[in-house]
Amino acid sequence: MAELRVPKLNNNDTEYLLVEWLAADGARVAEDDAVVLVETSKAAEELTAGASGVLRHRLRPGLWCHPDDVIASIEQAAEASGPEPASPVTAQPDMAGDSAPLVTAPAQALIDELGIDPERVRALGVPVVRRADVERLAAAPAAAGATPDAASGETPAAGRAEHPISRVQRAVARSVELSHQTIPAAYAVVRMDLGPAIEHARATTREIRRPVGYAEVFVQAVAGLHERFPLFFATVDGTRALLSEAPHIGVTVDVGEGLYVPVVHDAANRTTKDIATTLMKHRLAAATGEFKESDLSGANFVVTLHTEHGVVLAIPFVFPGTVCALAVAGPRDGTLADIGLAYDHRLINGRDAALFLNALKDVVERLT
Amino acid sequence: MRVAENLNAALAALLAREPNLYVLGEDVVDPYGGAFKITRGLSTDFPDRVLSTPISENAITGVAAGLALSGDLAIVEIMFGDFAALAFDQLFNFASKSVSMYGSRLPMRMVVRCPVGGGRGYGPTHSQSPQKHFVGIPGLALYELSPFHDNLAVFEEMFAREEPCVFFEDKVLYTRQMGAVEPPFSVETSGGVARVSLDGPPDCVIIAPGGVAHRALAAMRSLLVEEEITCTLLVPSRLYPFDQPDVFDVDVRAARRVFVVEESTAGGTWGAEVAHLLHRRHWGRLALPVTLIHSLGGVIPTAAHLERAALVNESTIHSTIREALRG
Repeated sequence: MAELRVPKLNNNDTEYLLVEWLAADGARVAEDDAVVLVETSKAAEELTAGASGVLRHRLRPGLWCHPDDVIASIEQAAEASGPEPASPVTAQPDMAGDSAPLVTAPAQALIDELGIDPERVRALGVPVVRRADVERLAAAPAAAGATPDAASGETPAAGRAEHPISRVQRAVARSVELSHQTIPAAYAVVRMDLGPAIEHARATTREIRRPVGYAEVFVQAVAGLHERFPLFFATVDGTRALLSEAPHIGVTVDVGEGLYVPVVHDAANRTTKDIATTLMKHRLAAATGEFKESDLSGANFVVTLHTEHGVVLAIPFVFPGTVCALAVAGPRDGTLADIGLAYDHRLINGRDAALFLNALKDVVERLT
Repeated sequence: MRVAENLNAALAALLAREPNLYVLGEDVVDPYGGAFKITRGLSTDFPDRVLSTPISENAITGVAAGLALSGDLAIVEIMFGDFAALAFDQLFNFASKSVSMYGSRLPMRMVVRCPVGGGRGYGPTHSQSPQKHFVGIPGLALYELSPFHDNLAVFEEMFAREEPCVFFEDKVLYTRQMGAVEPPFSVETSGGVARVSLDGPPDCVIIAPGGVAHRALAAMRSLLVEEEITCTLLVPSRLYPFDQPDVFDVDVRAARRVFVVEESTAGGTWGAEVAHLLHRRHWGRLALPVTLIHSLGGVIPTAAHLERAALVNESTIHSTIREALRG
């Protein structure tokens, strides 16, 4: 057996840093092969094996060695009688070739929380498993792979044009899925005369020099009902409803870059001008996607706008964590508009919804 | 193949191909083969053109400029890039000017190689990244060693410019493998820029030259795993002139958030030049100002723990990007 000793490399240093092994522990090396890199105070130096055989490391990288230290041994072929040391090394590429996906920490947390079978995660066939993928898995029926559709032999995506779903829309999809799974929603509509509100909005726009429209009017009107109708701003938590201290009104904004629901926090304590300014900022942010996290969180009531020309009925989904979604459609009969309320039927019944909508009608129609 | 081997092979191929190429430097001949072994074997094969010189960076670079001036090619090895300051006058006042100050363009085919960077406890005068001090000199091009760019092609490009070039080589790269990135990331190289990315649109773009690219890669991985933040890494081979925004356009437009990483100490850096160019081009659509990530603005300490705290590293990159994107 030969030994690899550290030579004296210069007169400045009494010790050198073992930077890295260039040949693996157990590798077969030839006499002239560079097997290790050591560093002096000024330069890196590769040391050759000095003998042929199987290399055995005696020191790990990152440690210091001194001239004449033995840092490896080289076993001649006859001595290396044990199991072929190369085998554990060859096992590694196999594992890599299996290409298990990289699972992000948020995704792993959700997998653990929901107890999802690792096989299903692997079957996603994506190189990176993100939390959204796991949510998608959780939303899909567990036996999705065995549904009649899949069994009918239709290979998904083969030869079909694909339209990638944007990040924003994927988030919307998750909310919709969760809403439909968890919230039994009902719907009620009341016809309101928006004439006074439109007139009021025009006058206010001139007065405060900020655009005031349906969104501003309804955010303010709904917020004003918070005290009388606390359940409409609550969150359902099992058998309880958690009330909220103040109305935080989410408003749907879609300027073509995807649906966002930014929030006007504590809307009851804000002036029309303040609400108009906030919503204007939100619309600008929606155009560029530059929301702050706080802009988009904390809504306990959502106003959805469906004022595009020609829409006569829109039934919004109830956003998870809220109880109501108000659908504001534009007037289609002069000034008469059908204003609808989707509500979580676990907490709110038809009568309550009608009371709420009529109270709202009262407020909107009395605007001067 | 390790980066050092790739570089050594590139120099050998160039010496074999160009009969009037000279390699000059302190202790570059065998058996020493240079402080980092990059020139090992070259003087044995080309004894009259690989020459060890006295310890004078000014003189070596001057000789190289003289060779280039008379039509030869020259590669200079500065043992530690910190000492390129001693060759600054030759580069700044002579070699770069010679390209254009004699009435017609004069090819100056010379490359000054500078091992740079810290992380090895070499202390204040052997650990610096002096790239920023050479930025903006007319007629002087700057390149940086990278595991994603084949060195023979890079040297061919530098000589084809026919103007003096400085080639910065982060010492910590020498022992790394060429090219590879770990899945799920993949790498492609075109137009002098290597692009490491995932499928799908990124949350941000990181521009990091060779010496810090692997630190950026490590941060990209931890950002993906811990935060689900997706980054695209762009590794330019040429630092200056940085007229490569075309190559970067698609990624910058898509991500709208750009980070420039470099090991230089803070203040007047290459990254500031990049940020300026990107701001001029993309100001209206950027979601954030281009963010610079570099080492602290101080002398680089020798003690390992202090050096770690001073130099840009994976966690600096991770936390800067995380804070900018998530607040």
